[in-house]
Amino acid sequence: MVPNSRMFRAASALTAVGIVLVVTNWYARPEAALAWTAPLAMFAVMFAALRLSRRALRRSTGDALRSPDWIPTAVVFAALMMGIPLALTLARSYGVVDDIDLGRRSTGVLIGAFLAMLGNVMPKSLPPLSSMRCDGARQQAFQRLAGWTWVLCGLASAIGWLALSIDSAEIATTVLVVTAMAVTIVQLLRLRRPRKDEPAHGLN
Amino acid sequence: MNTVFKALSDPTRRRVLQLLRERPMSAGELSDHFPVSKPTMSAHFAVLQQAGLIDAEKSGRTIVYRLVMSVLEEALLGFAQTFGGSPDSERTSRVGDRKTAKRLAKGEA
Repeated sequence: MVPNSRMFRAASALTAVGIVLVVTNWYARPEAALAWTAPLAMFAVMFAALRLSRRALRRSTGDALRSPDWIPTAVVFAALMMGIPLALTLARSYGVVDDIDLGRRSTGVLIGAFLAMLGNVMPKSLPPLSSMRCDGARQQAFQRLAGWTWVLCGLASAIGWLALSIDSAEIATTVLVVTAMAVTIVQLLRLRRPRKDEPAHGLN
Repeated sequence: MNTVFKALSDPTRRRVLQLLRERPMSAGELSDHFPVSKPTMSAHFAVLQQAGLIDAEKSGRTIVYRLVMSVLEEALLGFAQTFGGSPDSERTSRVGDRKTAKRLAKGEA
């Protein structure tokens, strides 16, 4: 299987930028050396995960469920989530940016965007009909509902981080995520319960 | 994305997607809803499959189609249905009724 090289390149570049940002921050504030080792270690782990997934994808036979082609996308988001606050911290230490909350805000927006992106692809990741242990129609309905729930939750959360004050955005995001989780769990439990008019493991 | 817009531009294909929203259906079941030939329907299914909006799985001698649309694609479908002209579901059902009526009349004669 040929790996998605554009995504791999983006993930590698962002990881490299992240490492440079950590080192520059370390140089700007050497007294907080311990604080910089954690993000440096995380970027190193991301880089290793990328290398391993690239090797695994080249050897993969095309089994979409087992191939780790989601790893570069996850690394891109993780690198952005860590890289933006690092860049803002660096900008603040050099007096370029005054806003203390900008880092938290941007991370919140990115997390919201990530949730929306995860929700967007949720209805697409259906298992084969022959391997389903419940009604295909119900599984499809569940994944569509879950997808819409997480997309709306992610978008609302991102808008909340942009428009509300930090305290209100934190509360609003928590309420949104807990509600989305509750909706998903309730629907999942309903999916597990067999319908009265069908056999326990009935395929349609 | 271009293939998605192409797939959503046709009212018959939009109607197929609407039907698949309810549950996975076989090619025959889907074709019964439209007054067009089976090869034409197969061409529509191929376009939808190429765009990654539906998924086909062989089950015995039938092919079962199901929806694999992302949330964004579903929102685009809703947008296309609202602004892309009315799906000719009423017209197709009327044509279907007329064809069935003709067939029945010939059989009785």
